[in-house]
Amino acid sequence: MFPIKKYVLPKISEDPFHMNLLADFLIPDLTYLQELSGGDIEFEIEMLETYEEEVPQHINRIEEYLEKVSWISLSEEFHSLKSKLSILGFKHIYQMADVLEEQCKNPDELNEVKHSTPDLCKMLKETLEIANKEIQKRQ
Amino acid sequence: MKCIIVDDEKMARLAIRKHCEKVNYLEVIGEFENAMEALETLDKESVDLMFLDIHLPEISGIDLVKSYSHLPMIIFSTHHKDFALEAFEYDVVDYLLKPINFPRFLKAVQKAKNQHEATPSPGLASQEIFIKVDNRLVKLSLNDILWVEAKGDYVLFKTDSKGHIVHSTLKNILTKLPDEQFAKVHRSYIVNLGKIVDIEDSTLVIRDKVIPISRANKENLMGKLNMI
Repeated sequence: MFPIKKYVLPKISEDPFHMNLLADFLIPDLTYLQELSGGDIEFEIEMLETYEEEVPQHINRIEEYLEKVSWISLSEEFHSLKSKLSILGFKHIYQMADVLEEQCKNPDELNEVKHSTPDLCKMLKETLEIANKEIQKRQ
Repeated sequence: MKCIIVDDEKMARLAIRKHCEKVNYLEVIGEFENAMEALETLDKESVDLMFLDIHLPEISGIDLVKSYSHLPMIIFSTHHKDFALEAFEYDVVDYLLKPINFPRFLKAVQKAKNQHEATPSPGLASQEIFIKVDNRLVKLSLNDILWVEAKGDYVLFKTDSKGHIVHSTLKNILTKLPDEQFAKVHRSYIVNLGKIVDIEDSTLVIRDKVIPISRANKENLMGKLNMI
């Protein structure tokens, strides 16, 4: 669905350019979810609530594995995130997770992982608010 | 067709279940987070089709297909297109890339349906057996039989729920059971191959029961197992 071979991880900082970039990253494309649900709002809410419930656990584990430098476990976590991100259409964050998953397996790219993982976690936290707003819209 | 969904991601399972609801010939009878839970159900239930994630904890989807011979039709799902070639080596029906869109899903399940219809449905005789217990004929599903044990002039059919004593010989019983599913492992035992959980040099285990393997029957047994 998101066929990008080489993806340059964004560097998130507080300057306006990067804040705009971050905002772009956080726009979900809910087309897939809506096609899947076929108008079943309860189903959409179930999906969004599952996202809201499970992503904080991913963030905790990612932070833990990064601290412990457990690259294999970290790679697995990035992989697990991809289903969720793809279903809610967070395309850019999906691509980040995809790149980080592979970088964890390459000793030459671990510094990049160390640098970019906190940014990914920051974005994931933002997506939780977005998911919550989508739930509110449907209730 | 009865199907199960095996994926460690709840959202992925929900997505596949939703697709299944839109296809009138599919009935989801179970959803599982890992391969071991799915295997327990496959032991007990008749399942036609399994949606199997490749990336699973402990046993991957590919390892499961490599290690077990009595599996239903498989449709793999994954985020990795790199696995596609390897996946097709295992005679699976199809391979779906996540997130799975409905037209592609429909194409895959239609393929499974065609295969299902092309396969002659096993008749009653090949799935079940009637045994004479006292003056009654009792129907046993072959999948429910754990082992058959010689008891003098009688044999014991052991299932999870009970044991049935029948006046017969092990030799006679062996001719009535499908060769690909059962094996004689000792002069006193026939076992259901799908129920074996562990094999050592001269013993095997089904549930908590340790069953001896005689030297004469070992080669026959090993030849029937799907081994790596």
